[in-house]
Amino acid sequence: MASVALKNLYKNFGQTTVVRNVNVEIDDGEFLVFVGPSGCGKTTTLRMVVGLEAISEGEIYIGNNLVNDLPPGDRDVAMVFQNYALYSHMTVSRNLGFALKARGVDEREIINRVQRVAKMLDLEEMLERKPRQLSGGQRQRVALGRAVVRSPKVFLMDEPLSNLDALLRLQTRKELIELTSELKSTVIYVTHDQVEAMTMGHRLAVMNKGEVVQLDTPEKVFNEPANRFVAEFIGSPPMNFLDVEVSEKSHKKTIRADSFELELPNSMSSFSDSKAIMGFRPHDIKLVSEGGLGGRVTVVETLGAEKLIYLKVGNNSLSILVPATEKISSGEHLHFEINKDHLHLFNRDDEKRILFPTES
Amino acid sequence: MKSQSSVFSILRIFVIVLIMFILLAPFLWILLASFRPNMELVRNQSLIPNTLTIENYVSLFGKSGYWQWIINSFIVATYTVLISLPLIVAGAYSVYRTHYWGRNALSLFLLSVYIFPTALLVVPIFRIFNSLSLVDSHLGCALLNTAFAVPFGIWLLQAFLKSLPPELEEAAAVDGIGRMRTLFQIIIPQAAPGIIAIAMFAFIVSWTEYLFAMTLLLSNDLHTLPIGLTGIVFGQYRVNWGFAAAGAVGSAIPVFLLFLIVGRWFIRGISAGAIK
Repeated sequence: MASVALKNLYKNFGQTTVVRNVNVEIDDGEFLVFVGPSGCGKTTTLRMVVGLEAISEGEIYIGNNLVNDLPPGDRDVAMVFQNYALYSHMTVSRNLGFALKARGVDEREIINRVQRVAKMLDLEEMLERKPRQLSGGQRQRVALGRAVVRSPKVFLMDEPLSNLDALLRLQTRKELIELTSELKSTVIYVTHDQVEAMTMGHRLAVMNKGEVVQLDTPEKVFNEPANRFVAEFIGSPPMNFLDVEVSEKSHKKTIRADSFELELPNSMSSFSDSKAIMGFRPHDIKLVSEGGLGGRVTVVETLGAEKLIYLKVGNNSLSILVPATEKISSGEHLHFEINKDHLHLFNRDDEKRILFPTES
Repeated sequence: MKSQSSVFSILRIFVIVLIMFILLAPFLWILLASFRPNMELVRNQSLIPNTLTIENYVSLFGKSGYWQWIINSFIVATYTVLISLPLIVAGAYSVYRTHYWGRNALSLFLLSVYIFPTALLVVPIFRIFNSLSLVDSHLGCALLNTAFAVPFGIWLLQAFLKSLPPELEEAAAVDGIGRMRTLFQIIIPQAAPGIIAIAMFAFIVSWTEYLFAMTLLLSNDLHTLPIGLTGIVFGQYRVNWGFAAAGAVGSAIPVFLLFLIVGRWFIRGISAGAIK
């Protein structure tokens, strides 16, 4: 296993820069997830680490070695592809052993390693089958096995779960977490699914428009998003945003939107601008019988244990999560209070979250 | 509604039958004609025969050089396939995968071989082949067929290769598998249906080739099927139509059998090339 360092990494396709100044250090044994919407440059970044894409500028280190000019096969990394890329004309066992054979590993050693990996991934019964005789989940495990069998320094995974159906994805996610922690492997994982990112990553590198906008633990990314984009992208359902005016009223900072007023908590009293974007997550609210914010219910979505309620508050559309036991129907008028401890303010110009002295 | 849809389906069946008839009638006519006496064919070309005879086949199989021609055609076609396949695979892989200056222009230029009317090439080809001592040899004939089979074969196979997921090669590259090994152990097996289809194509190009075989194969005992048959069909004063039909059937049978054996791959290969 090894650490990986990406330094000032750029990728240009002609005039278009698709990866811009990426700086990420991944520790030995760390599970790092690149997460972001499609087209944000996460897969391109991964492909540069593997060596399938040339680097326009910057440096990539695996362990202590600069690998910029090394071909993929010499980087000692293994990759799991989204569509698995299994060799369909070979049996599972040959798929698993092919890379070892090509590297001249002793036949007996190949058999041992294939057997061990097959056991680890529950593929023993399928070793003599061809990929097309396997289910999606089994193919995925073969693809994973093909990476594991080589004991590479780093595992690179490009949306490996996205071709699985919902239930299988959940199960495979858990298995993948168990497997990588058992192997203590360094993993770089790419996904657009923020739930996958939150559950699997030791740290997340949230990307947008070719840049890493936040690099932190899942908790920090969720609770202290760097900007409006991160706040909106991470967390489901997404955070609510409102354009607000801030004024001072009898020595208290107060925010005002078109239909309500809210006193800012003391921790935010140092805020000095007159305009901001207010953000709060749908579950950081409390229903009240009157006062607080009020709005008309437009849509009610039952999610099981909770209900997602869409409200029209003044000119704004907001969503809130309430326990499923609440009896709410559309058209109804609803009042709620926002939990001020989890209130976020973002700068209107650059949309960065405003930090207050109590936070680190 | 129901009667409307049944009228539609009857109409559809009628159209299908009509198209099938238009497509298959010539073949049916040839098949039937091969069992008719030549004199009857001269007088009456209708589809329905008056008398049936196996006289044409008796003279084709028994009295002509049919078996020798078949063997010769088979030798030339096999040479053609053996020489053209490696060139087609290498060429298609190069066009599809490698990057070099002028690649696109080159791949377009490939098909320009077919621009020239082949009759124009007969004399120069004969002179060139003569100076290379390739006249009157099956190998020479196969080389020429190769020249005509390779460009289209490359074009067809690279379309097939494009339909393979690029991740296969990327996975191999990440696993440290060299390019040649990737080509032979991953790309070629994956493209097998396309390659077999193209081998069939090269075989048929050679099997049906007439003009250059006529020019290059001078000795009677080297003649391929198309030359041999024309020699007999076109007599000095008359054309033996019944025999011609039997000859056409007799030359189609080996190819037909080949299709039966590998037809499944042929269809898959053709359709992959057509869609992508």
